[in-house]
Amino acid sequence: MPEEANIAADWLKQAANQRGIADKFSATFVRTDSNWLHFAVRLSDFGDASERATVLLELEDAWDAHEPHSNWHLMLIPASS
Amino acid sequence: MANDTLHSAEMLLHSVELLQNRPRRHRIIRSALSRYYYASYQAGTAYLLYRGQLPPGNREAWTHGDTPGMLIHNLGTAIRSEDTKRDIARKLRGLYKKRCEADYVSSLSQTHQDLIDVAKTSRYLVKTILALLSE
Repeated sequence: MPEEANIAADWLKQAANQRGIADKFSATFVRTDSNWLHFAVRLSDFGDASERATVLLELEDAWDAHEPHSNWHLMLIPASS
Repeated sequence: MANDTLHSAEMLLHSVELLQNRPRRHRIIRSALSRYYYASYQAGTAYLLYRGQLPPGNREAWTHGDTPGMLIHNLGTAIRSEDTKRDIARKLRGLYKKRCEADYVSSLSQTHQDLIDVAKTSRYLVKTILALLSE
């Protein structure tokens, strides 16, 4: 697990907390692929599939905006809750 | 079969994301636009197969024209809002139009902003399908 994955995992926790969904949110690092960090994300008791997908997209974009100089991008995959 | 198709959609989406790291020459944008559509189309196909639908005849999937409507009718209560269901179908149709323009209409220019917009729509569609299949 690359150091950047730890950084991203911590960032995801903070981002979920800032959005008030920390109690519904969990992210598990899965793998790297090139410069992508893949996480399986569970959103329990949170909206429907469209709403969960929207949150994941927003987090991916927020990571890119927050870490514009990072070579790593996030790939957040919805997982069973 | 559905899992294979969905895996293919994930791989397509990822390959497009990788493509974006390359120099943004015109032909790369056109190729990426097309691939983003196919990532979404394959995700939609995976969902229909997962729902137990069978493509007509001996085909492996539904036509590009039929797939958005099939999705609307098969989303059931998994998507709460009827507006959202129609929006999902509209987005897929929009990506198909962009794909056709990218592949066949050389007189239309494709901008980097087109690519950004299409990428976001495709990412939304694939993730929504993945979220549906994870329920």
